[in-house]
This record gives sequence, C-alpha cells and structure tokens, in this order.
Amino acid sequence: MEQTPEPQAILLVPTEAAMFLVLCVNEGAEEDVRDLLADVGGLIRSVGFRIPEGGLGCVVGLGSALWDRLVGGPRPAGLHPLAEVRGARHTAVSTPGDLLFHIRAGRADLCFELAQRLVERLRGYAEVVDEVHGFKSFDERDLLGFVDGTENPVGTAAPASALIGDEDPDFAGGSYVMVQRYLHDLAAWDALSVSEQERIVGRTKLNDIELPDDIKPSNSHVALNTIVNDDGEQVQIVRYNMPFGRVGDGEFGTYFIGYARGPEVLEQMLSNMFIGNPPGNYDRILDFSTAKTGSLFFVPTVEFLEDPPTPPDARSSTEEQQPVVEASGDSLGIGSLR
Amino acid sequence: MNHLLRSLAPISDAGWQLLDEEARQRLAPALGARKVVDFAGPQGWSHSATNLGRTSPLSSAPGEGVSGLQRQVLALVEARADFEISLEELRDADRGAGDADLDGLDQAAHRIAVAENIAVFHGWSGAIVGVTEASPHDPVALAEPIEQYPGAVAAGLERLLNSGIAGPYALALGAEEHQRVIETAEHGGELLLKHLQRILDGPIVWTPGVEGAVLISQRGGDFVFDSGQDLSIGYDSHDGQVVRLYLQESFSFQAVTPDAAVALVR
Repeated sequence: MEQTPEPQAILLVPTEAAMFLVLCVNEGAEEDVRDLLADVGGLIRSVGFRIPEGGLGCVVGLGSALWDRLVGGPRPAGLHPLAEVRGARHTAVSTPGDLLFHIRAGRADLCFELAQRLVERLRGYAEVVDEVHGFKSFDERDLLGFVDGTENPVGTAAPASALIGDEDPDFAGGSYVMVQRYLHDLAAWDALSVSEQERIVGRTKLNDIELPDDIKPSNSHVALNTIVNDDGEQVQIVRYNMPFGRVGDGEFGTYFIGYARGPEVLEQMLSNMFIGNPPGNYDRILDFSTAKTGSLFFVPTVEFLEDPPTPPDARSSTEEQQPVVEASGDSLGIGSLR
Repeated sequence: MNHLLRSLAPISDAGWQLLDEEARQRLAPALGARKVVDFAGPQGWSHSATNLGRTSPLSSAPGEGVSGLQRQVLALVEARADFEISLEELRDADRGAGDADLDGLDQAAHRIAVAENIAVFHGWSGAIVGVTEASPHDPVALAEPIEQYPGAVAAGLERLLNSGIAGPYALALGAEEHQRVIETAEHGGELLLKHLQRILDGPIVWTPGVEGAVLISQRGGDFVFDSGQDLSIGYDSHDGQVVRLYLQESFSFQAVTPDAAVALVR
C-alpha cells in the first residue's frame, strides 16, 4: 500500500537559465493557491513540451505561515519561519515569502514563459515580492569570478543530502530550501589581488581547486561552510546558485538557493558565516556581499502538490456531512443527556 | 442562513443568546427520555430516515429473471412548538434587564420536552412505537400504599432479569410518580428515593409525560433515539409587538430490544 513518495525535480544538473520567484499569498486566497499548486505539474508539462530538450523544471516551496493557512495539521518537523542571524558586522535578514518557484531550463524563454503563466494564474491571489532572473556564467562562475557549486554532492549522496527520509516519515521525499539574494560590491572586490580573493573564497580562481587546509584561512567561505556532524561526517546541501545583475545599475549578485533534508544544516551555515565559527570569525566574503533577502521553504512531494491536505477546520465543513455542521450551528446543542 | 431563518428575526445577537440559553435551561431538566436511552446524531435537518437494515419482498420485478427487495426505513418525525416573545421584553434585555419575560419560550420548551418523552415511552401514533408499546412484558401494578413501591420495582427488575436483560437499570418516573417518590419517607425514616436507587444501581429520572413509571435497562444499545436536527429555535414571523418563534427538532426512535424495559402502571 505504501508508495515511495515522488520528490519534485530538485536534483538536476546545473542549467543555463533559472528564475526565482518569491510570492506572498493574499488573505483569503488560500483556496485559489491550493488549486494552482495542483496545476503546476500540468503547466510545466504544457510549457516544457514545446521545447522538450530544454529540460524545463520547477520546484515549488511553501513557507511556514502559508503552511498553517493552507494545510494545517501535522507540520514538517523542520518548517518554521527563518530566523534573522545577526553577527557583529553582518546580518542574514529574514524576509517574507509564502511561495517559492525555482524555475530552471536550458533556455531562458522556457523559464520566462512558465513564470509568466504561474504569475498570471496567481494575479489577485498572490504578489511577487522578489524576482530574479539568473544566468549561467561561463563555467558555473559567480560574478566574483569564482566557480560556484563545485562541492555539490553527486550520485546517491545528492538525494541523501537533499531529501527527507525516515526521520520525518510523513514528509519523506520532501525537502527544505533556503534562498538568499546577495549583492556584491564588485568595485571593492576587484580592488583585491587574486590571491587575496582566493584566501577569502578558499579555492583557486582560475582552475577551481580548494586551497590546502594549511593555507586555507579559517574565515574563508569554504572553511566556514564545511559542516561536520557529531559522527565526523560532512553534512552537505545541494546548491543551484545563479548569478544575476543589471549592469546599468551596477547591480551584481548571486542568488543563493540551497536544498537540504533538514533546515539545521542551512542554519548552521548561516550561523558560521554571519556570527562566525568561533564567533567573530565570520565569512570574509560577507565584506563584499550583502544578503538582501532570506526565506526558508518546505518542498513537498509531487503527490502532496497534486492533492494538498485540507486544513483541519475546513476539513470538518467539507469532508463530513453538511448536516452535522448545520446541526451544531443554530442548534441548542443539547444532545444526549446520559 | 439555514431553514431556521434566524437571521431574519428582529433579534440582536445578545437576544438570540438569551433565548438559546433560556431554552437550554428549561429543556435540560425535562428531557427525561434522553437521560435513559441512547442518542445518535444529530444528523442534520436533511436526515429523513433511520436505516433499519431490513427489507420487504416485492411481488413483481421490472424484468424477467430479476428479483427485488425494498429497503425498510424508519421515517423521522418533526416536532415543533410555537411561541411568541414580546419585542419590548427583548429590547429591555438588550438594555441589560435581567428579568425579561420569556414565559412563552418556557412553556414551549416544556411542551416539546413532554412530547419527546411521550413519543419515546408511549409512542407517537402512526410514526413511533414507544418503549411501553414495544415491551412484551406485562406491566407491573403500582399499588397503594406507597411503601409497596420498592416491591413493584423489584418485581419489574425480576422480569427483566428473567429475560436476560442486564443492569444497571433506570427508573423513568412521570411527574406525579416522581413527586410521590421524593416526598416519601418509609418506616425507619429512609427516603424511598434512596431505597430505590440502591435497588436500581442507575438513575431515577423525572420524565414529565410518562404515565406511571418505566423500568429500563441502561446497559446500552437497546433503545436508540436518532436525532436529525436537535432542538433548535427558529423564526416564523413578527409584527410591531411580538416575534413568533418555534422550538423544533426531528427524530426517530426505535426499541431495538423491546424486552429491555417494563412499564409500571397505576
């Protein structure tokens, strides 16, 4: 009877194009959003079928507050609003977000078309609060000039890192995703020497080799984002970061998006980067990159999206017989006196 | 809005609260039958029949090689007690008057509670077979003097035991019998009520409308009151002086085990 839950298409090879849409759902529009969620799969197929080799994919995430409004009942164990992480010098902000659409394809037109269809459907029901169009930059480089995402887990390690397993059986096959929109101070960054940049990132710039441990500073980006659990094993996340920007406005950024089977590892990374490990030893990359947004979402399974459970209070009025509700409405409610 | 049309009445929210609370207070003590039979539901106003799980044969079928059966159901009855409330009284209540005259409601509550008790214990002609109508036992006579009461109850209990009906047992007393029982102290000063309670191991219930008394098993599952719409106040009409309301319920009653009760008659 138990079926293996089908995860959303989280684990893909890096794509040429991506769009990141974060939306806030209007009060009272929960039912309409629920309808859309069930249709997302169909929309992806409709748009994607036009260019099959484009490999269009879209992952939908639900924010903590929306979960209560839309689903209620038992929650994914790790779903909560992202807490702001305030370090001595830099702060990881927490910004509103009910819905995340992580749209990816080999071509920007596919992403754009799907985003357009989704937002069209949600017009009047949800507002887009953040929209980023990402592009692949040369060999997966960010706008700081470094290769990003090299240490993504591969093979069986990828689903083991990104997907919920037996630890939360009701939500197995789901995932957690954190997004942050970073803007870079390229002028200051480019004023540094390449070797200085390499010590900040923890990898070589040209050929993307991790610096040896004896050279790699403890406040480098790579050092602080290497998380080891109590058993001494490295805990990984799956990242699909993308550069974006507007040259005329001098806006150069990296959209961080990391999937993990639990939010703890994502939050540990935030703590290491912003507060520092040990505290004060913060990620030097933050001196050149500012987090403008930050949100945490739960990524349900395909089955869940197609038929989200109804909230507990709505359940009693829709699933049970109508008369029972009527009887408890205006009735004196005397019932049995035994 | 449902069929009770409450929102059409010229009654404030506080007024409705007052009326509902008054009705509950008046109904609860008088609804004796509900204290001794199983209560199912409420299933709502649109619930029209209780499933009996029985069929009756049909003499013909619409096609050859086909046979048919017709399901039997027990149709619900609607009981309604109309009353009037003075709008002036309701307005004063809204101003904070604590002694609003709700006499019309009080009387209607008593009427419909008595009707429910009668329907359950003595039936509703053509619609409901009551407990005493269904019981196969000969009624036990309640003879004078009152001191013989425990003996009569014991005799009834003996009949139930002989039929294999286990306790505990309740005694539903009509208004007159109830008064007699609570007034009486036997020789030695013990209250008759206490004596009977020891015999029964179950409640003694004031059940206005019942003739004499009924001894009824409380083991459960023997008598089922199927509620469609539980007692509710609905709106009928109003003029400048009064609003015409009604107390209403729909229900059926079935004696599943008719021999689990015995009547005590005077």
